Amino acid sequence: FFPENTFAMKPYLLLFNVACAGGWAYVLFIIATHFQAEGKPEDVWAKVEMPLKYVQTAAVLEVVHAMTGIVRSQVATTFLQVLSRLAVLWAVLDVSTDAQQHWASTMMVTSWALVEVPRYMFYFFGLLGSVPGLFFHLRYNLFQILYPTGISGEIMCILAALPYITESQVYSVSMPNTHNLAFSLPMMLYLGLAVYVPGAPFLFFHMIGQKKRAYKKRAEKQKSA
Amino acid sequence: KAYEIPVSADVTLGEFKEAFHKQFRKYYPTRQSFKLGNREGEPVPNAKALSGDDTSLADLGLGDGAASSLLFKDYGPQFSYRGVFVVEYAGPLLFVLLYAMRPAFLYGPDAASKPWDPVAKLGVWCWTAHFAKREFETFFVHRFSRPTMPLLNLFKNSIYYHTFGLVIGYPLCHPDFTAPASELQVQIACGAFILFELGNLICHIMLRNLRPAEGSSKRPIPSGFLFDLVACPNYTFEIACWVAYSFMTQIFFCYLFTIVGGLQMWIWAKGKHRGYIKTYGDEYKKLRRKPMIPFLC
Repeated sequence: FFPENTFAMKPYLLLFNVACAGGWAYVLFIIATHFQAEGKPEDVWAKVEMPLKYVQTAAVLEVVHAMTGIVRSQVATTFLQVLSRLAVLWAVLDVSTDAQQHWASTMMVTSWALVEVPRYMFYFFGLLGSVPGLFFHLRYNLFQILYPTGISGEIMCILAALPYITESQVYSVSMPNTHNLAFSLPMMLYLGLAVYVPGAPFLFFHMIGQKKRAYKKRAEKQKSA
Repeated sequence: KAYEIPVSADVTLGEFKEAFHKQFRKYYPTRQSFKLGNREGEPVPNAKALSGDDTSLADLGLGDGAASSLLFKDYGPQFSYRGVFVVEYAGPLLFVLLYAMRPAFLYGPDAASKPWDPVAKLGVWCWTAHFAKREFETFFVHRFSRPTMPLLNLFKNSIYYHTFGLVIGYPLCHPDFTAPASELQVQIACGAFILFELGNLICHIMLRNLRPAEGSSKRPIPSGFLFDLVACPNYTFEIACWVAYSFMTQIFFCYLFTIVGGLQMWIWAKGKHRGYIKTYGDEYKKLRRKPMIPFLC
């Protein structure tokens, strides 16, 4: 509906990207200082919970940006990415203390934050015209470690949370009801785990492809500059 | 990379693609796409992928200077166009029939012997008829403009249809299925469903008769029936079917299916509408049609 250069969209997007980068940087800061003070992995969630919820849930706006056209991303991919993060955050981590206290949740949140800060800064500078080398290299290289650590973290959190989720039937809806809704969160999570099997390598190699194309483009741009 | 493939310009595009395939075994003809360009690899202005396998390269514009070479693009792995349709519709058809057997591991030990709500039975019949009709149309009605589509679409489309088949079929065949309170609602919705299915079938047959042959990408402006009001009445009837089915069965995931499907079809309808405008200009514009919803949008 709105083209990229609609009035005030650029300042809004600049603000959005820098705020999200800042939010995720703050999450990293909390984790870093926690471990610096010799804190234990089980206690990370309590400290990081609120900023994490704010900054990750804010990503819903990225779907709106794609739908309205002020950002040139595919709605479907953005929707799936944001949905999967929100599902892990709110339907797995938030409900289960077993997942919250598992060291894998710290590895996962750290991976998310380490990927998101360069990503939002990359978009920020992209809006301004040119991305400094630092953020370009971080965005297209860190993922090679952070995708595996993030994804294994997510899988381990889901596995840790499943016993409680199955037993308590939290967020699940059973029949009979007027609109015939049957939703089993444990089932959804098993399905999610199954999707990771082809999905994770696909995402990884897709990003590798993006990296090659981005480096090629950057090299061409610098040659002609 | 530049290659010299000696051919005379009165070779057809199809023959050229075969020759290209012989030399580059990886790229079978349906994966190949060519644009006219010069020897430096720059495309001609407004270059479009060449089409018309029976047309000679000379007639497609290959000559000297700015259009003296063919620039290759790989469409990626392909799958039969018709094949994608067959697979994607088979999922919903199969899953609901399997659910209808009420397997114990899904619904509990004596589920299969529990009575069926008549509306649930009706829902199973209508769903099965809908997808059986789709398979029938895939083999006997539709004339596709292309023999293949990207392989990725097979997975994307199948995931879409199969997932909805799974989440709608489960409550539909569940022993605790709850029919709408009003029998009249069910009857009207069922009647409407049948009428809209017929409307959709008629549109498909009319579209088939407009296209001269399988493989042709001709899109003459349709006329008559609901075509007089919208560019894609087949989508109009399709979404109306699902609205009716939703009222008939009151299944939450069916509401989602209706909304998501409707949105996607509306986007496609807008594209087709724009395509007609681009190809026919005023001749189409003066008809004052809407993309999918009569008088609205």
